[in-house]
Amino acid sequence: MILKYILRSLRSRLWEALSLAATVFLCLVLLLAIHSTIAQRQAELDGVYQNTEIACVVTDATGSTRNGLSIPAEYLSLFREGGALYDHVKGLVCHATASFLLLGEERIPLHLLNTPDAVPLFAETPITYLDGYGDADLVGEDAVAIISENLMPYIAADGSLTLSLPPRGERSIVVRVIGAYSSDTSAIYLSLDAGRKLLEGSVNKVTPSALSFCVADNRKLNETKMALGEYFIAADPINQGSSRFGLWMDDASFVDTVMVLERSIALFVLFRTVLWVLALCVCFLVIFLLIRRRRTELAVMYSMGCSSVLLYGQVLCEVAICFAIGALVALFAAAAAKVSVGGEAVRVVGILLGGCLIGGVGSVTAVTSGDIMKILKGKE
Amino acid sequence: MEQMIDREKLLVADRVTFAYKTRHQTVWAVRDVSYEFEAGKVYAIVGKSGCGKTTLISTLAGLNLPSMGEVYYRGTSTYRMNRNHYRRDDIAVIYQNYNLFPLLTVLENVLYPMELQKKPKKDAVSIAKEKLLSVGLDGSYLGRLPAMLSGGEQQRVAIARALAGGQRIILADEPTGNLDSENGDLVMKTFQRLAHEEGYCVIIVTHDPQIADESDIVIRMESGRIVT
Repeated sequence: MILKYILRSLRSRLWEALSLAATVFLCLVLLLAIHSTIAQRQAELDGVYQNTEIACVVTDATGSTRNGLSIPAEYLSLFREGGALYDHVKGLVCHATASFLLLGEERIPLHLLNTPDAVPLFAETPITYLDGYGDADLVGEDAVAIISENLMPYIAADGSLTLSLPPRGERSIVVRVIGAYSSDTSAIYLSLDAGRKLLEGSVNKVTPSALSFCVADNRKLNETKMALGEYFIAADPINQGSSRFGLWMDDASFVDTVMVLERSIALFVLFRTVLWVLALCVCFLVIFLLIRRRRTELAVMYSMGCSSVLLYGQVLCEVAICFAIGALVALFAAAAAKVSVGGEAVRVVGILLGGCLIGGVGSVTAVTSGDIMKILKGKE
Repeated sequence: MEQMIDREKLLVADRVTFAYKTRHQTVWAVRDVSYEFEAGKVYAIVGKSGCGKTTLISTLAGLNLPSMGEVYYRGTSTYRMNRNHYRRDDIAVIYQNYNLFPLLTVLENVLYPMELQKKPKKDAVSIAKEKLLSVGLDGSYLGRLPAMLSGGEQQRVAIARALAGGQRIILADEPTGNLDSENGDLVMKTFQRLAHEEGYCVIIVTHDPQIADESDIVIRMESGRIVT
């Protein structure tokens, strides 16, 4: 009969039940919308962090020169595993000069690189790669080289080239030629790591002439800037006369975008908090007012020895049924409006339901904590 | 009024005192009331408005605990008993404005206390019908909602509900207050029959001198105390 009473109670107080359901519906729709908006903005922000490449180029102190620099060879160690900047950067692009090599009796200029992008020459003069080779083969410790076409006669039948170091040529290296380019002058472009290994301990030094990279983790941009600041200064014309190397960092647009998104998210989060407080207060108020209208009924049940479990249970069942109606309609409406109704929606519904049930418990307690006899006499 | 109190009697008030306390003041509604209520009698508690009658029966009914003193039911203090069970099994209250459940039919209203006591449905229905007949309501009333009944009929349903649970003590707070004299007489005769023929203890709070005259014992209260 208790269940029958609950259903009959809801049916006879249809407008009251619907008003609670409508309150729940409105609160849920607004909360789901704002949660969804925040999630979208957050995804957008994550995308910006993930997909933006912040390019950094080493220059002179004023930022006017990006090539032909004489960067100390030690700087390359910073970017190798274990180096101070290894974890902060990715996509290192390096062009270095390293004096000469002996090819037969000829002294050929030696350059080191890990990508053709590091060399302005290759922007105008394309590289013709031999079968199966490409830019990626320049990365790593394999001794590969790109040579000018006029050095092709020196290539052995197996595609290799033997090079030796001046002055006496006692140290030599056999490299695989992977490509050639057309030029009036002769030069050899050796892979960076193989070249450094060849020149280790030699009087010939590796001198990076162009260096660029990207920030490895955009979320740690400030840390990266601090780490880079130990070795470079921000490229700026006012640094005229400084002997330090400058660093030009293309982060302005990224920083602006992130700032706008973060501010927007912060605003929505604040609004969401306010909305939650309002939603819970409105639900509490509606539930309290509805239960207060039934205080005589509750007082009679209490005076007849109805247990607290039954008293609270009956009211909470009614609150839960009204909530369920409002929530279902809200979820359908949200789905129809293409508002995301995944796990976050379950959380929102759960919290609001919990709040309504607590409101129900609080309301019954408040209503029945008065003078029961006065309520029963209709004097309260 | 000093008297020896036998706490083993049916219902005993032992120096019951009740105060309504707010932040700014304390009102002593009942002061040092001691009385023994026995089965088989109709008691009328009379007095001016505000003398503490309703507060006294609210402590007797276990709706409130006394601020001082104790209420004993068959020797057990209301401080030390489960008052939900006490109200469910031992004592029934009838009100001036009936307080029937508006959404339940007459039969369902009378079944309600037995539902709380978890009595088998078949037995409960049989008892309910019997009690309704005992107050003069036949089978034609069973399916009606309270809104379709007169004041006197509603009060009789309330009496039947109070009897259905098998409680042997009935507290009635101005039960004839909203009734005409004919219905009032009917209610009073029912109380007398319950007390004298079936051994109930009936305690009535009333302003009505006629009710007082028809009771076995009249207890007069003034300023929270029993004066006679």
